[in-house]
Amino acid sequence: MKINISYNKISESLSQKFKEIVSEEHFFSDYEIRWTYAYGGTIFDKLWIPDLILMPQSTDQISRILKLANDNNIPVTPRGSGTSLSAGTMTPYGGIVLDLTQMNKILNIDIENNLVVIETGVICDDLNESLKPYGYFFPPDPGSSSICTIGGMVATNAGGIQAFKYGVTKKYVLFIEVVLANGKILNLGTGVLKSVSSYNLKDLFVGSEGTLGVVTKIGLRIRPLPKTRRLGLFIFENIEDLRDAVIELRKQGIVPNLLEFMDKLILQAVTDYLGGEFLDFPNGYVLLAEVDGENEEEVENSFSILFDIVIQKGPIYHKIAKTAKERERLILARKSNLPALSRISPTTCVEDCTIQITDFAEVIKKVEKIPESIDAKNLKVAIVCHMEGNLHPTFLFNENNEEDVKEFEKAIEYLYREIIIPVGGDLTGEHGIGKVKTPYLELEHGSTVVDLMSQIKKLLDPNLILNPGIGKGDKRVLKKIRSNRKLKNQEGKILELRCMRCGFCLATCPSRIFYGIEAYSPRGRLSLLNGIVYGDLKLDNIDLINDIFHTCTLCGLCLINCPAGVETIEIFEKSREILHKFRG
Amino acid sequence: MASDYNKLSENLSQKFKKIVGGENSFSEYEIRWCYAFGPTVFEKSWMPELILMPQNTNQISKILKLANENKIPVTPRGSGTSLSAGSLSAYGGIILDLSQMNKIISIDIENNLVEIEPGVVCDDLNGKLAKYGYFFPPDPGSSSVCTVGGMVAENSGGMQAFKYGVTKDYVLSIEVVLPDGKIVNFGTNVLKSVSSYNLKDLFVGSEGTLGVFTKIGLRIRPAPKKNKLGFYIFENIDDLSDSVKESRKRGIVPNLVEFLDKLTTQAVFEYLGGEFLDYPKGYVLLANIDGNDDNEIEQNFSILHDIMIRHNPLIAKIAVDDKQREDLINARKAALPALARISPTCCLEDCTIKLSDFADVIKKIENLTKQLNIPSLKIATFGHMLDGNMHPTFLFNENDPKDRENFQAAKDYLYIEIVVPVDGSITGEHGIGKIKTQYVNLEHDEDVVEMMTQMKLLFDPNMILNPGVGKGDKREIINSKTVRRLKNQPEKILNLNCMRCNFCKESCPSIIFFKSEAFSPRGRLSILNGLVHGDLELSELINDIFHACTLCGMCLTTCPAGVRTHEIFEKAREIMHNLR
Repeated sequence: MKINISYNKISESLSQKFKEIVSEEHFFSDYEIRWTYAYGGTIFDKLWIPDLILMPQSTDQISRILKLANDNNIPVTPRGSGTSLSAGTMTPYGGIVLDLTQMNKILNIDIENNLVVIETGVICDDLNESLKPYGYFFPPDPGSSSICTIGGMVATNAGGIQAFKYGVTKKYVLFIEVVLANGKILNLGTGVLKSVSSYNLKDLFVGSEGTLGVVTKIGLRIRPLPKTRRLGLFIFENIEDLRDAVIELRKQGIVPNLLEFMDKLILQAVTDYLGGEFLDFPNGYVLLAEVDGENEEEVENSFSILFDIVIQKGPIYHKIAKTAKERERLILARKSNLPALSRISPTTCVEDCTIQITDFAEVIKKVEKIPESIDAKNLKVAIVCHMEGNLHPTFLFNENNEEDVKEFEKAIEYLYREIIIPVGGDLTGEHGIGKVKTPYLELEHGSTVVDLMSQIKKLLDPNLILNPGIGKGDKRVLKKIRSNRKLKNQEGKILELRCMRCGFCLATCPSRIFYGIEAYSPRGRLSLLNGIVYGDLKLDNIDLINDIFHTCTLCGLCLINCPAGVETIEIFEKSREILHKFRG
Repeated sequence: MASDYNKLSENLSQKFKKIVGGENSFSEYEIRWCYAFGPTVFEKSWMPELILMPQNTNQISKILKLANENKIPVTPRGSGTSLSAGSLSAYGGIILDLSQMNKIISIDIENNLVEIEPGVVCDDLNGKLAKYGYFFPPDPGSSSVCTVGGMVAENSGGMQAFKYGVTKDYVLSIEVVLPDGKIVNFGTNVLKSVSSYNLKDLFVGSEGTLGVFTKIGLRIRPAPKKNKLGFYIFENIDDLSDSVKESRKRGIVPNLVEFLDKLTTQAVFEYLGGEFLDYPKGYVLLANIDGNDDNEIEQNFSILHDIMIRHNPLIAKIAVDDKQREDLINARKAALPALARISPTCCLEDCTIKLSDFADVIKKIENLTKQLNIPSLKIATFGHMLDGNMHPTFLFNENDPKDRENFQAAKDYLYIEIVVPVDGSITGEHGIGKIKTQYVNLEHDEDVVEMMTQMKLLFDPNMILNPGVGKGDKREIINSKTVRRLKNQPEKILNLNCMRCNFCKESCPSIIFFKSEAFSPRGRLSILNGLVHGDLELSELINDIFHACTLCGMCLTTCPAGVRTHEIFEKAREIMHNLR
């Protein structure tokens, strides 16, 4: 199927029309502000700057925006907190970013019917906080749960570390209100717990990565929160032994709520980062296993069965959490993977794929050897895995080094083409195809399925205005300019390069909460600095930049939430000083 | 939306026969006749023209391609247990009987995965998995005979859906043949995937209107090892409903909470007799907690039991052992057989409501016949309480024109006046089929109905696949309102209360040998039905069909309605013999 679409640029008069829909205060066209919307947890691309940021407040506004954009062939990219690891919210074709973070009301909590109704911008952890007093929860828990929006989770069908036991987002979505590209508002699904009264269009939208419509309201099923849990950490010398332990657990019908794998590189990084008792651990492959349930004795029993099975496979070390505090500490080993890794190299790219557990050991060995196999000099790879087979090979390099980027690109080619696809694996378990995996789609699904996806896309979005560049239903090859950016203005080494752009700092930042937009967040400020030190961003609009940096309260909350330990306060303080001098 | 179908020419028929081979193709009127019977009101005009029993994906691909080019309707079918006429051929054409494609291709416990052909029977699969301590949780009432392909088509649920989910939650991958004959694979046999549009789940629950499933990859899970069951009778529906609401607030997740209304309860108690006759009359609630650990089950159960007790049940009984558990659970299992004995026709409806609307909805259903002033129609309601999935069951006589009118009026009232106004769903697990099309646009906005049509046209532009199912097909189906009258009923040969559930199929030696529906107990009863109403004439083939029965009586043991099949078949043979 040939795709032949050309988008229009937003004219001044069209821009005014969009402004009228959302009103002045939710309309942003300044270059500096748009600039910050081009940063996320993937390689930065200077070409991918949006033309306009709109922050709609209601479904009706979204409907009018889409209709107008559709009539004028303007691309629209919906966005939650911008935490996508597959560039899902980036704008390779420019156009409008629909920042949905302001539509964040919890509309109804209905425990009797096991149902909550929310707007799309509600943050995952916020919802779970509200459910906790009732003893209920919404189980999917991506690493970014502290900041990611549920709308984004629906768009990517997000999973997390408890998916094997509790399932992924799709399992909990009962209904959605969705605005189609032509502005039509549709209600798919129903608020009851069992229904087969229509084609399952709802689940076609779940995981569609914002390419079929904009989800504005969501009805979620919730479930009772388990009351107790027990965790153990096991270290294996040998990857096969670890795999056999997991397979034996399956054979015995044990269902842990959490079963996480970390490779040797990660354990080393975590040990260096956390210190303390971790320094006593031997190096090896880590398996973290937890059982949860309603009742102490039951959990105790299940855990002891699990423990016996795992021990039989000969781990060289084990530790059982005896107190809540000990559990937190062991869990921290998993939670600090990213911070620990991000300290190794300037750029950390988390990949995502799923394999069958029987292929686990061979695949891990091959992934460990990627740098060697492709003859890479600087590239490092670390592997974490949710043991339902969802693997996150994490590549460490420097995105501003041309050689590094080439190695990285070669590595992911090798990963998907030579390792994952040949074992019947899946290109993405929970991060989505986004704007980074389109070339591999046909390898996994074949041309008939890829063609059917294009037809579905065409049916719902004939002008391809919705999140263009995502490989689902859109086979076009994306233009990249990955120009070799060189540091130009780095007076006083102002910018620490290791911001991973994960967005975890957004949740607590007072100035971002007040101003609402990305530019006024810690990540936004770092993105601006990134532009400035590379000479991409001129200080023409010095008043705006000054304003953005001076609205920071220097409270330091972002520092606490930063996995990479970026010294934000110091950086922002120093920036102000320099900006002050610059203005004279 | 008009698609004109062609009739099968002799020449075309031969081409189809060639694809599957003569032994897997049936065109005799008597055999086709049997494929028009199912657990819904019989329609004489819904007669298929050809029955094909394909043996592999390739044959199905050829069949669909040829049918598509010639605009011949094709209706895929498993065991024909649909309660919404899903496998009946409202537009004639071909029935694709998939029951022969019943191989379990692989059982892979390590990867929590099984791969099967669509014709595998649900209980057969679970029989195999039990050895490994695993199971495929969806458990429709027809699990002893229904095919997993049919379950995927309907997105079947069952009694344990609240805790364990519905079929959709377990389908990892499907091989599908599209109407143009293309074979496609949706989904991947890994446990987590977002690498494509979720086309797989668009096909799950599509009721055979988008493609024909030929292979299914299912996730399986460890089977719980232990159970504890409580049996409660409430005088008052509000008390019953409040007790379940409270258990939900406390976060208790039973694997099963089944409800029987007063009429069902009474019928069941009379049917089962024994200790049940001593029980007070009221609403029955059966609640079961399962798990692997005695402690856990004990604790959860005692919380649940205390909640029940606080809501004034007339009686509360805890099963002390497996035997007693079986006895009590029989009260639920006996609902259909018991009701089937009340009237000749027994139509199970299906809808889902929120738990908070439960008591009001039940009251309205109880009041329905009074409201419409149709006392001759009886409605008994039972269902899966936790997900609000209720099965109001209408008892009447399909051959009485007044009864049929009343049934239609009552059904309209149920969906239009009771279920839809509380934002309920018009079907929780049986599907829209060929009986609920007129209600689809009450539950779903016009734009949604329109999008379904577009989806349908995208995959099946000639609308050859299972036409008449109200998903993506808004056409009104013409029902022949002909009234059938008993003409030949020598010695009252035909017991009329066969519900056509097909539970008898599973154990019948002659259908295993002869394959086609006609050689099953239900098939024979369908033929008798045709004979006594004067729609069928005696023939050599009919004689064969009746004499292929071994009179082993296995069907009698699995018949919920207690139809005395072997007596009937023996008598039928005698009469045929005399006539010859």
